Amino acid sequence: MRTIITCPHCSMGCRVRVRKVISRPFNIDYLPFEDIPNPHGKLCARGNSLIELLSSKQRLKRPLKITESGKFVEISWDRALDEMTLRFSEFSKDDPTGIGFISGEMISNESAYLFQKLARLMGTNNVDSTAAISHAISIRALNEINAWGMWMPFSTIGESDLVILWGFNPVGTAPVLLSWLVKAKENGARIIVVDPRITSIEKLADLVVQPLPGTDVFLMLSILNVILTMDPDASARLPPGALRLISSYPPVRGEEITGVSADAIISIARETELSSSGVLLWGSGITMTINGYPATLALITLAALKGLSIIPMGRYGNSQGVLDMGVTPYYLPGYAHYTDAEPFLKAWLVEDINREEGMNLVEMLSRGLSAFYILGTDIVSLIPGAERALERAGFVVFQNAFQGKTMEFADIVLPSALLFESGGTTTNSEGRVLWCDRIKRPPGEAKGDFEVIAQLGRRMKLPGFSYAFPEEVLREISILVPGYPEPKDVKNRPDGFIVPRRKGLVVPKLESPLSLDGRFRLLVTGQSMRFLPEVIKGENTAKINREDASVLGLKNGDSVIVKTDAGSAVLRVKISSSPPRNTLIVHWSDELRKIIPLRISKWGCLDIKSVPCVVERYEEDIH
Amino acid sequence: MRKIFIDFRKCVGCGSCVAACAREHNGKPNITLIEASEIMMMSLNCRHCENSPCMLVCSARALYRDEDGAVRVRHQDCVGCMLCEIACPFGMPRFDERRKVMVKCDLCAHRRKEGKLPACVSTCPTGALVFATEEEITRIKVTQNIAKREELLKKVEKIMGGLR
Ligand code: SF4
Ligand code: SF4
Ligand code: SF4
Repeated sequence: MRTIITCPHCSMGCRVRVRKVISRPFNIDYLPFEDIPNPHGKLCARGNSLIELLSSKQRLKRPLKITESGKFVEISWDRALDEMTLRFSEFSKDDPTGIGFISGEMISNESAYLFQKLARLMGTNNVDSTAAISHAISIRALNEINAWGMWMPFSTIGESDLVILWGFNPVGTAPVLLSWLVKAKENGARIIVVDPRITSIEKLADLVVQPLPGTDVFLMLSILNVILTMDPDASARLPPGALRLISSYPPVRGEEITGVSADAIISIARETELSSSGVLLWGSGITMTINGYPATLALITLAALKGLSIIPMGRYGNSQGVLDMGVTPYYLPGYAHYTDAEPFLKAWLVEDINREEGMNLVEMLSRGLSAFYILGTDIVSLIPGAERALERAGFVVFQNAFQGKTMEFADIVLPSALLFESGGTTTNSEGRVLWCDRIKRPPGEAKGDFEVIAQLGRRMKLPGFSYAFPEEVLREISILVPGYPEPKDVKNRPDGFIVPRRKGLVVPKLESPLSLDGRFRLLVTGQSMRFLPEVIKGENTAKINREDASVLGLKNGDSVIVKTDAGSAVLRVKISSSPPRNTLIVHWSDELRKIIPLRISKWGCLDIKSVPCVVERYEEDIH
Repeated sequence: MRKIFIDFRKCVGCGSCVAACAREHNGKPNITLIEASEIMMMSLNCRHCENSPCMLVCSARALYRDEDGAVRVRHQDCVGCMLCEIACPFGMPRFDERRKVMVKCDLCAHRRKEGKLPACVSTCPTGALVFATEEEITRIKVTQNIAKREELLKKVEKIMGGLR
């Protein structure tokens, strides 16, 4: 029997064969193929403990309902769905735009597609995913520049002569990508790492650049400045506004802002000049700053001018898929504009849909709505300030595989089956659609998300929700989303199916970034709350570099008080060579979440990687 | 005999080997990840020493060398005295609380039986772990060095330009 599953923990989408052996039911085999996302079936720590991590005691098993006294009682699926139908119908009768739909990035394409279909047929475009604060920014910029044709699969890395990793450290986020990196290195590629932190990826790098957190966009503009002086022909491809912007960031200015020496800026520009088959990868280090959007534009523009391929790295297993499926207030599935809704109306058997752009994730949470449907994400522990919005809402449904902080605010809690318990597809950061087989039954009464949404749709008397299998949903997707495969193209295919990219003229574009405030910055890591196996969990301290520590009079193990606009927290420090000056590297935690302001810049970018703060020595009271 | 060699210049400390080892050995790893600094780290497992002190001190004769040369514990004979752990220069054998015996790296005996590599070697994303004989390693090192020298020559040539 062929049972190949997809690891949902990061946007590599590593493939794993699961086989039953005598001593254990789910034995993991490394697949021997070259042309899958993880060459030779290599897996990282999370992939290696895939089954164990996901069968924890924290799994939800039965639908729950909150009682008057604030306790949860188990209810039947029937009652849960009836209650949801009743409440959601009430809300959607008055004002459907008072309901917010928020999904995670680990749900299948099929569930994501049905989720937005449900929202849109109920009459609201307030549908967004947690990708809104990271991967969606990359994809919006990519779409704006029409850079789809520059996007290449991971295998390109192995054959390239220059690899730039910008704001993305594969060691912590997508370790198996290192296999491709090592292959590139063996073939003689140069590797440039741009990251405010010094980390072990440096071992593989030829050039390491350490900008101050949040200043990436200025570094890019400075590099562009050098590129234009070296290759004046390139200016012809840029609009006058962009040229003006670039001209105000010569390398000396870049050095002033970013802390990267003018020499290093020039050598990066030179490396891109010399390369003929380079590839540029970036991740949340760039998108999760206030200038995330202009930074991504600048990065893609840089790649376009120098002919580099690009790979935007998402954070979770299906960051790309949820966006492709239209779980975003700005586009219908397949990035179709609301003006081009006709094919959808026909397929969805409706006269018309709401054509106004909905609210995005942060808008929904900061403005507050009367009801929320939260699918596949523990939003409260992920997004600062989410609990306030949920507290004020009249009705909250939380549908997830695991218990979480969000439960406290939920009226109905529904247990989800995981991808390998229900089957379905995900799309990784190559744009590769991968079918995940079903290897076991979900615990208790947990059900696949697509199945629950389909049932809810039927009960709400919405047209066309009669699906019983994920395959049927995928077939509908393949009709509506350009390039998406039919079930037969992905089932029994370990290598999946790469969605053909839209070609067309690439139009480089820039926007002027906002200037940064604050001297000291918090660089938050681990915000994605990755599942980590017990055996490799590290300590949790705030890292500070030696100079800053001596200025503040700190030694290892001392505490500091960190104040931001949203509050303050006391953290223990560790002196480390990792952070640059004026930077505190902290790991995401509950206390930390409370001091991160829920504030987005005009492009919808939430700052997590360079939060302005004041850091002071904390004197513990000794009585 | 083949051993696991560690190229510590490539190891980035991602912990994949540790997790794979834990999965293959009842949830507890036989690999230690030694982190000297932010960028110096190395995955360390039993060296399956040629003159293994652990085998010498074992009074119950529970340690033996299998047909592939791996030093293993015969669990039914082990008395759990922990002398091997003390004698081992790396402190590799570890006491298993549940079974009251010593456990250590067995180079994935069950996987070798199926003709597979040890799990840590199969999974290491950077290829820092290599399962090979000493001669093979020597050969790999020599080729690496030759490649490096050639690269250097090419660079010099590039800088010196038309000298040829
Ligand atoms: S690299 Fe990502 S997809 Fe691959 S095994 Fe690790 S977490 Fe899973
Ligand atoms: S898997 Fe490889 S790179 Fe990762 S810690 Fe182990 S030896 Fe090092
Ligand atoms: S346990 Fe220690 S002494 Fe024994 S073979 Fe392994 S490394 Fe050598």
